[in-house]
Amino acid sequence: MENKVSELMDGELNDQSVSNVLGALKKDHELQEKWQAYHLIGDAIRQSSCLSVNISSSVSQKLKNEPIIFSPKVSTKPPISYDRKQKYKVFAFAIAASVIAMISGGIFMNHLYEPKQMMVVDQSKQERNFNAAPIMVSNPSVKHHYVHPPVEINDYLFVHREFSPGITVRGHVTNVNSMPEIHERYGR
Amino acid sequence: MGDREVDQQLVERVQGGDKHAFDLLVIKYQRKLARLLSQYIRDPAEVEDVVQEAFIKAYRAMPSFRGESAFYTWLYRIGINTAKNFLVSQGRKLPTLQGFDNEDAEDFEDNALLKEVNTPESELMSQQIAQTVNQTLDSLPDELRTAIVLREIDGLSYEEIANIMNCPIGTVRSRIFRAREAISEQLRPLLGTSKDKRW
Repeated sequence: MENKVSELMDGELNDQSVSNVLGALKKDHELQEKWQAYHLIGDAIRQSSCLSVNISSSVSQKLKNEPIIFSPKVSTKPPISYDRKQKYKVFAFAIAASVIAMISGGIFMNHLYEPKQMMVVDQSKQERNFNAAPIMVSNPSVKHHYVHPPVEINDYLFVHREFSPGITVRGHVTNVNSMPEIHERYGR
Repeated sequence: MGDREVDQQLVERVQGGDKHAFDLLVIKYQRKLARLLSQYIRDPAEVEDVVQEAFIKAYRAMPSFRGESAFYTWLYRIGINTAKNFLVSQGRKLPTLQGFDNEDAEDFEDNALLKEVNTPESELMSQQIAQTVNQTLDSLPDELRTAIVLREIDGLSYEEIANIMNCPIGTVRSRIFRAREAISEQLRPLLGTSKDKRW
């Protein structure tokens, strides 16, 4: 085993052997002396001063009063705490929800304002000739589907106007007729 | 597995609650750190105290060591800071030596400004150790001496030594080990590392 200690201090052992030798060093006092002597020999060959320095036993004695260290497995990356992980999760969900909302909104708006050519037909001509070709007047960037509602709808809107939000806005209420006007218009 | 990886293994063992692994790191680096700190603190007894304190601090700070630098580089910084604090507490002026804050601790070892600061007793002990090692080294067969010198002074790997000496790696392993054993045997009476006596 002494030769393994020699190889260990030269960094020439594989992982498994290192583990075995370190385990043996922990138990075998003779091997510990070898470890000490081999390092001293190395320092002496390198002509180091302070060869007489030997504080290992006094440090060991002082460390007896120190609490034993139990630290988690060392990682080169800083560990992420549980709270931080939770924050990351919430943040990720928020991002995902925002993206989904934006995409949904985009699809909805795209569908709503689907580009269609606005055709305006000269009604007077149409009444006269049903086969008359429509005339394209413009191709605006924002297209509107605007169709005049049938008269029945006006009745419906009138009856339910109290539920319309527009009625609360003073000065901007449109299409609101007084009762006499309605009676006059519809003969009711 | 290289030298740095072996240190990392020892560090991980310390971080796993193995105090004995820290003893092995102390044995390995105590003289190197003492030599560095003796540049700033002249009294050898104080050097030993500061080195000891630096190791205690290193042990306490071990959970924060993440292996981003070599263990010795990290230990070096702790040692330098401990020496600075010691000098400040003594009301002494900090030496303005080039390399005091040098991050490359390995290069600092060869700083020409390093001087012997041993006491007569420790100086005598150091001389005796050095003399014994050198005499034994000279008496070794050439192949053993060459192998251990290439390893300890030039820092070559076993493979590189095998290429230079034109022999198998197994032979290099054996030669270096035998050289160490021969020197160790001669040091035994000096260090008192006989089976019934501790150094």
